Amino acid sequence: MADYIKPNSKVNTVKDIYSDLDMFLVPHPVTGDISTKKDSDAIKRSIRNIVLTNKFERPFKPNFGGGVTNMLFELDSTRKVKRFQKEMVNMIERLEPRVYNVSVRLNPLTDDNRLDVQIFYSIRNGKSGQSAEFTVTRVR
Amino acid sequence: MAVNSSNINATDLDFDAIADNIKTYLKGQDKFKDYDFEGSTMSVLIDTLAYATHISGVNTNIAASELFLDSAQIRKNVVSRAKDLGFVPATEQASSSLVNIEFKNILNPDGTTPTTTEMIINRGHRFNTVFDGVTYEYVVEKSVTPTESAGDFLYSDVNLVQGTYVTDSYVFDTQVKNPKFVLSNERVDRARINVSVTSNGITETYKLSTDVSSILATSKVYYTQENEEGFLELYFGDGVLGKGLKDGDVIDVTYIVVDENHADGAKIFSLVENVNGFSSATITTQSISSGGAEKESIESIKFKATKFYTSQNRLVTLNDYKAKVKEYYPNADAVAVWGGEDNNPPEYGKVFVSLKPQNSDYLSDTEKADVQRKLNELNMITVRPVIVDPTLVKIIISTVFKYNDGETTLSKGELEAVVRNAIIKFDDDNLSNFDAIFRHSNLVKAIDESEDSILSNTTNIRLARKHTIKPNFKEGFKVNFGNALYNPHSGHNADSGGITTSTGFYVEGNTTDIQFFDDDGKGNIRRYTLVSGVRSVIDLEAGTIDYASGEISIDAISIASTVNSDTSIEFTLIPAGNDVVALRGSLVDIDVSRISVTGEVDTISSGESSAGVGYTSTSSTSY
Repeated sequence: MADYIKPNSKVNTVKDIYSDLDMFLVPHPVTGDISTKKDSDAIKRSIRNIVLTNKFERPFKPNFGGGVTNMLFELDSTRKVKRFQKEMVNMIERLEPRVYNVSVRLNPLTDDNRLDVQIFYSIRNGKSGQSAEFTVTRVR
Repeated sequence: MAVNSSNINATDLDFDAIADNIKTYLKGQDKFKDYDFEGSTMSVLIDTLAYATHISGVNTNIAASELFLDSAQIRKNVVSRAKDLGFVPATEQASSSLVNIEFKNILNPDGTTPTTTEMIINRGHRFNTVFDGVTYEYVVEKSVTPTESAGDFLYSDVNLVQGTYVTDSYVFDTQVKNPKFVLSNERVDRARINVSVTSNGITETYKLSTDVSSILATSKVYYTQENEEGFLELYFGDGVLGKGLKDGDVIDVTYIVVDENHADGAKIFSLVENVNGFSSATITTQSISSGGAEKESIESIKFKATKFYTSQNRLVTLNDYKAKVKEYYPNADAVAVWGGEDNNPPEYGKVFVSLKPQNSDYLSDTEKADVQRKLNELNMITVRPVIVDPTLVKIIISTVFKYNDGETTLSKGELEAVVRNAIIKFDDDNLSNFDAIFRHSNLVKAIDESEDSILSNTTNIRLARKHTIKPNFKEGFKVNFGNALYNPHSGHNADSGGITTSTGFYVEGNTTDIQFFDDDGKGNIRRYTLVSGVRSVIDLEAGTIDYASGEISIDAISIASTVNSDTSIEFTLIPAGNDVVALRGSLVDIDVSRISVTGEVDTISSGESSAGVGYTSTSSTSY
């Protein structure tokens, strides 16, 4: 009779390294709890927060934010776009230590009155080749 | 989200500290881990929470602080807290001067002499003065009617007040609850407000209420207070405490708007507007312009309000007198009060008050009489207050400093000016009170620290005190310095006049020889005259000098006149120690006009002198 081998009661599960609230505060369809963002999603949401926050929006942190919405009201010139791209990269690298190798592509679509933003980055000790994309438009 | 740590420190006021406390609190859970990353949504929530906590904390802190007189910082709250204690802070005060004005040989074009009524100078009539190169406007405080004699018109004791004359008018309306009339200017001298109320065609003058116990239902009084914006506002009685006003009553308030710069010290005035078409006035100044003061500061209100409350408008203890004198004369730089029993010789039943104005050494006679009259109203029947001039012991400073000319771009003259200013600042900061002590080492330190290139200094002091004589009146007098005097051995420096020098004077019956006092180092004061520059002693025992107590006593002598234009003799002596204390009622003060400053290049530090050869230092006893 083979010896009974007691199963190892310790189950090693990989816990989420990063976890954050969802900025949209959408309730989970089943539990009704506010949903969370984890790991790469949390980082992506963080980058999105940084880029979409305007300067002077956060209390006592006047220099915080990429201010991409302000770009909507700037003149459409290549120099401006490049300057904004550079500023955004600096901002993300300074405020989001979990990513590196950041690049930003801004695509102003003047006919549609909108601005497409693409951000490419790699996660430290994690996946590379990540990207976040979103579109900014005027409210009115 | 299970949070293990239940300790969240909510006492901090600083935004970052609050945010850190929240983050520390969040470390107790593992549901949300991104609170430390600036871009996370958790961080947005933490910032919002910390901001709300910060604002609420600061508001609570300010509100609580402003509730108490000790901790309030905002002027309107300090004034309001003082009001609880019945204390009314002083307003700005205009500088004023007493003058006589005379028009001589005044005739109308038709050859008649104008009447005194035609020649009245009305309240608000403008004069001006040029003081330190700036023109200041003065106005007449009260209308004055001249006396006329053979075409000459004389206006005696006209009070000229610096500032602008303004009238505000209001109409009383009973529909307005608790009506208050705010003056349209901020810098108003409360003591010089005139209020008149016209009711049914009858104009009556109202007075400022000072003591509520004497106010009846018919008393024509008004009250004042400083409002939240710092403006003065007036309000009237309610028919119980002072006469109430009726609908449609017209209130006229005339007042002086105080200039921002006070022309204290001005003494030459001229007419700006003609009087009845005549402008050839001779203006003689009786008392130079004085008494200009700023609105009471927050610190002063905090200090005085509590003292005022303790004294309850009665003068019993010395501190009562101190508080009251400061209230009556806010321009006082220093106030000393002592009982007559402490005087030497004792004068029982008197309280002596000595005060020094900010911009001059002594009060004018009018100001003295005014303060004394006000004190008389509050003091006990058996005690009489006496205002005496402070006795000023002047400290004459002579300093020689060494400096390294390689370490400064300033010239010798500029450095000397820096040192002189450091001495003046030391005087302003340390020697404005009666109980002040002149500490020599502190002054030496202040001089050394006045500029980086200054390496050392030798500072010597002399004490000087004036005594005013009555011309041609035989009397003895004492001059007390209140500090021990230098006398290392009996007979010290007897040949060269001991340690005493004095300004010159003429003795009655001898108008040719200027005479002086000195001492023989053995306790005797000598009187001498100079014959070809050599002392010729006239009286070997003209008085005594007590080196231990610092008192000079001159025997009876009739002095005809003095070299000093103010009929005074000034004694200058060497003190035994370098620190100087002020005896009761006396002030020690550095004589700013007689500061002697000499700069010398330090030959060792500048490399000119090797091994100290040729280095000279100043004697600590030279002057």
